[in-house]
Amino acid sequence: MDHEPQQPPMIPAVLRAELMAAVGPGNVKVAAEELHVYECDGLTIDTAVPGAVVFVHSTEQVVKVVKACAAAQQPFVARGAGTGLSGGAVALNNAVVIELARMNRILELDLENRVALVEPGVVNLRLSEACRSEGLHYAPDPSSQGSCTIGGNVAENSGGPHTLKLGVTVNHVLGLEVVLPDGRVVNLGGPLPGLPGYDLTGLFVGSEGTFGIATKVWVKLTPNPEAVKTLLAVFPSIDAASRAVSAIIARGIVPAALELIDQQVIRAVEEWLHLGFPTEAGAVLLIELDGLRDGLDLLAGRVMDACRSSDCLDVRAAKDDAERLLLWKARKQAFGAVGRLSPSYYVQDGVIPRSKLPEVLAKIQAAGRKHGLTTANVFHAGDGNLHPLILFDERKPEEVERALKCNDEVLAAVVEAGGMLSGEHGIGMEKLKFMPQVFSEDDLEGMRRVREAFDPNYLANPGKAIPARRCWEVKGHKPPEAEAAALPPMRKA
Amino acid sequence: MALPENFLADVARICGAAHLVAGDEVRPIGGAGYRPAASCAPGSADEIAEIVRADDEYAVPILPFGGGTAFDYGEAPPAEALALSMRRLDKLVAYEPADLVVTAQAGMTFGELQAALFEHGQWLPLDAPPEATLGGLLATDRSGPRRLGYGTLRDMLLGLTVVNGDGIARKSGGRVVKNVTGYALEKLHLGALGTLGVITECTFKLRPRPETHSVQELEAPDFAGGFALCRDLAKRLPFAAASAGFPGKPFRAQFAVEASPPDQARVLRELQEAVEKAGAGFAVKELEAEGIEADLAPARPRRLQAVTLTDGRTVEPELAARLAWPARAQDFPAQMQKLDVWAGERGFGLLMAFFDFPTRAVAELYFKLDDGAAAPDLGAVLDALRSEGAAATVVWQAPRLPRERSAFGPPREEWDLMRTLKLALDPRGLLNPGRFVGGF
Repeated sequence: MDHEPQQPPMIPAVLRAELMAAVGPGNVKVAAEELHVYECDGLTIDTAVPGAVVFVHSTEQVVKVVKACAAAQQPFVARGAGTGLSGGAVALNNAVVIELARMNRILELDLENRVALVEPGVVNLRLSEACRSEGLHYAPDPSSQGSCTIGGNVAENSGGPHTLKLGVTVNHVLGLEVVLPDGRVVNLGGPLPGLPGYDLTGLFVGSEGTFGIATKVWVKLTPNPEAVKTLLAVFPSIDAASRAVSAIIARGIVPAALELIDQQVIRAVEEWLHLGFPTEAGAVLLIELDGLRDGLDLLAGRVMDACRSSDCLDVRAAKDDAERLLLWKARKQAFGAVGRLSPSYYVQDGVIPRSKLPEVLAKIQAAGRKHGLTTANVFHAGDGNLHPLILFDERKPEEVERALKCNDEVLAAVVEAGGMLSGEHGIGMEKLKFMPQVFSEDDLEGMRRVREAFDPNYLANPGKAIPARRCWEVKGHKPPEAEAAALPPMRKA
Repeated sequence: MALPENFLADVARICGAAHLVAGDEVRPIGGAGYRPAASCAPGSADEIAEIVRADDEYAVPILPFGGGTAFDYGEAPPAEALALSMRRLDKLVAYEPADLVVTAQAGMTFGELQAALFEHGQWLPLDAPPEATLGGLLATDRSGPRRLGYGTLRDMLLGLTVVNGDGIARKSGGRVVKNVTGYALEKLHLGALGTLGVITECTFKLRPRPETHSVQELEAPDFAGGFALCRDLAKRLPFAAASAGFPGKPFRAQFAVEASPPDQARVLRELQEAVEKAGAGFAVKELEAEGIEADLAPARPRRLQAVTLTDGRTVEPELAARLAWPARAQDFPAQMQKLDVWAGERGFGLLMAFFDFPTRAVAELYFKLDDGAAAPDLGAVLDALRSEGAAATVVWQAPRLPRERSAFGPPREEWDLMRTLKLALDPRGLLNPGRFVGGF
């Protein structure tokens, strides 16, 4: 990535000394060339250079670092693998990046009771691998599961293809140890259900790092299904494929996963991986069914009927595990494949009522055509969770503008259909400006109050998740320093 | 003592004099017969908001209630309060069967909602009394044995509209099945007893009705043998519910099978084989279910004030508690034995402890004061329950038992944070004050 020459932001010398005392000088990065590595996450369009990057190895170190930041009124941002797609890990206002990737131990694996206690830096897939021999896995499976961390999943309430049947991150997190923005450590929930009090665990998951830093996570482990059947259904158009999705759901079938891949993406995948996908198809559905082996054929038959009733050209089951893995490889590598088509792409994450899929997908295509841009779709159709990709060249400022306009229109279509702005990537900073379209100022004001209960000075990941207070004068509040000083995200072109 | 005249006049003006009663005409609520100073039944969320705003001047405690089935949960209600009946907010707001999502007003009963969903072959897979309201179920986070197969309300709730303690209506979540747009404030209201806001509207993710339904009852010659067999079965096979009771004389466990016909056949076959293999004294039979919508009786009481034992007798417990246990599930039988002895020595008989297989060290316990026991040391029993780190919440106690300890146990460190949240969303402390954890 090329950069404008940029002066590294400075943090106060006293703070720098305290950070070094807390974690050791080798774990504090302040040099410009080191900081630039941390200027963005998976959403490369929004960038900001952090004031420092601090590698932590224990809850005690997190407490020391957070306390030092609080004393200096220095904002901080927790970061895992940096695979987020909404700019959630971008360090606005010189924030200190607290890098948790080295807190990567699985502390307890209670297979008998199907719970695990992990540190936030544990890579999602590693947890499933650790309990695979016992027939268990950790259910949320984002496409980046080979590199993303459980802590990051907690921040964004991440999903994945198989969360259609099993639920997203919040449905699998039982409790948290959290370092609050003033350095206090609290335990929220735990391995046992039914503790008295408000569900702070449920509130914390998906709060995008704005309530504090999770330093331990209690998660549920899920039994592996006895049998799995994966179907590939081929459709002449994206419209027919999305009608089939509605037909499947309307028949009362909730598959383990139900993914839609459109022609653009199929072709990109084929060009790269040569998996044998039908490049003439308008779209395909990848449908996974699981459960006891006894009922799978019946279920598969019904799904095939639903597909055929929606003008399906062909539908067949993967004949063995090898073919099944091939189908999933295509799905999981889809973003990478699209990356080969275009210098840049924008992944959107709107979520809509499932019955509105045909209507909204048509609008997305129209928006792309209007702005002269290619759009591609590969998404969790069963959840109504769209991931339209808008292809553009970030070296051409005018094309970036068109891409952003196209993106605005996509989100407008989502909102108009009764949808929401994010299904699993979070609001981060990229979608803040759309929040007033789905929430009233009163709703947002309530969210700010809750945020301030955790973080009265807006030190934890400021400028993310919910828009800054607008009416502070009227309400008689003083604007929190960090928030008032929030810079607009730097657009790189 | 009566409530301020001016406040009652405001309430009458807002929701209509016909929907306000005060003094002797007020009907008691809940199993303990609590009688609020006045009771009103607003007709809309706007009216509720207006009542709460009017109360800013008077700070009269406002107690929302629905079917009254779980009104006794929590600390004792304040002596002088305005009860707020939610029953007039009983409309289905939006239901698109193709989306498997429904939005309803919070005063709609669970029975009314299920009836509407059944027409489309869908349901909210929750065990709850039909007369309970949706808002009441959410505020008390009600669940039953089907949580094994379908999760709890936390897994079903998609969005919420509430009136906070400042009299402002706010929504969170949405009508989509997956959502990270703004903070998940809807989660905060689950089990919060309405202390952060009056729930006025709720959106749920639904499930298709299962094609088959069967409740199987497994009998075993002794508790340890039955427990081990049930745990093994529930780990291997997908049951919608699997639960049993302690002391369980005789040992009986109920398994709900809700699946496609081939899956059902398989599960029933394995259940049968496992019982045959277990040997003498083990048996399994199908129970006459009252229909799929029925509670999984006799696995759980429909009301806290009446519990059916495994031998079929129905008794009235005097103390009901929900217990979350740090012990591993496999240690559960030994822990139960210990508890049984403990309680017995202190004048309480353990009627029944209900729990789920395979993994949950959590139970609902029902006690009755022994005949002739003079001064029951309720505090000592609760302390015993809470020893070794267990969190015990009293969900029902008979009026004749002294309320000498908190229903929620000694303060926990995270309650400070909860208090800050309470202040943020109900700054005047108007909503169900004093009834939740930490006295807020």
